[in-house]
Amino acid sequence: MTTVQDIQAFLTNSAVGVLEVSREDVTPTTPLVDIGMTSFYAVLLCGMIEDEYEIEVEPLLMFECRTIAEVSEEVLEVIKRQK
Amino acid sequence: MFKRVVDFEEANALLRRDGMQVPGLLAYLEQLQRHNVSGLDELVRFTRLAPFFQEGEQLRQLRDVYKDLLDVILNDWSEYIKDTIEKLVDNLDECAEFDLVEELSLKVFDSLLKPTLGLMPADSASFNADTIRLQELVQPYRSLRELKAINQKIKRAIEAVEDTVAAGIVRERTALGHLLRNRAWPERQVDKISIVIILYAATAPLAQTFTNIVAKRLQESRDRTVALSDEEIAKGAAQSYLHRVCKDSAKDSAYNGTYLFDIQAIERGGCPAFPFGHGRHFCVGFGLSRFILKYMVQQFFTKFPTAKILDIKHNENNKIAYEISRLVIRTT
Repeated sequence: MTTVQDIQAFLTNSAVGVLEVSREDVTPTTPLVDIGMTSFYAVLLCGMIEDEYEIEVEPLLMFECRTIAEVSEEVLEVIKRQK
Repeated sequence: MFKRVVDFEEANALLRRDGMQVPGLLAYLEQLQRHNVSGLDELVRFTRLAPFFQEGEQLRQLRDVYKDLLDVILNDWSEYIKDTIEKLVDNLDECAEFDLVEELSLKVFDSLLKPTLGLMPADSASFNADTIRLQELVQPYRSLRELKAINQKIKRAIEAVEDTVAAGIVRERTALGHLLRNRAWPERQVDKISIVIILYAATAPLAQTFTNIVAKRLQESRDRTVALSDEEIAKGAAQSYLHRVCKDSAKDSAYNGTYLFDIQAIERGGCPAFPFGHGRHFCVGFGLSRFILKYMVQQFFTKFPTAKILDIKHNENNKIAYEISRLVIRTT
């Protein structure tokens, strides 16, 4: 069963790869805007979440949640609702 | 994230800026492709051929082609359009109650637009399901899943029309027939087919605007048989907003230069100021739309001058257009 820690780890790895930032700069509580989150990357990351967990996610989620921790909590809720 | 503009003077000044451009969806999709996102090829083609997403020389070339196609329809099909509208209105039972959206507005697609454009797909209902809502492509922040689903719809629609071209059933006098035989640019058949499908999808607001105009007339105590004015057309326009991105140095960084001009709120003299766009992006199909709307409204109210609204429902999920999804009318 997917946990919020699993999602945090997946999102951290994905953000490091997509945003081309160092792993040390990305913690669960780092504000997403501080690591370069834009509308483009929001769509890209949400696409990765959709493929990984087979759910539908609105890219606006990345702007409604401030950090990876908050996004992970929200994604877990979506997984519970949609599965 | 966006700056919503509701004041006419502010909107007018902003829209006149050289750096104010339509959203860069093409560059955005190509950027996604560079990040190894697949399944967007047809969407990229559509975006490249849709005037709404283009600027500069590509926009000028596209507007020239679209204007030519619309001229073909207005010049060669105006009597057919009038006859068809008369038949559609005559088919409505004078004594019955009916949903105007289902029984008249949406019939514009199959009865009027498909024959004139030269779109004769074998499965007409599936083609409509894949194309009529393509206008929602302009809604910002679509997810990758949604973008890929739209890509699939476009692919199916193009294949359906390619089959009719291969079967030789596209008539020369239609918009598609004219484009295939008489225009050198764009060169590829698939691009020509895409342009005509874009034109079809772009007329979706016509059906919505017709419904809005009829609803407004039925709600107001006025002479319903007078000719439809441009002011009434503007007040019934379906589109909700213009989406623009400011590329010049004076952009408002607080909103990342992204503006939503609220068409329903920006008024000038009691009338929406930019209901059909602005400047080089003014709706290229306005002339044809006005011709169809004037005749449809005239025919409808000549036949049903005392009609009453029994039920009206709006589509709250449509974020880009003011759309009445159901308008039940009693005709006597």
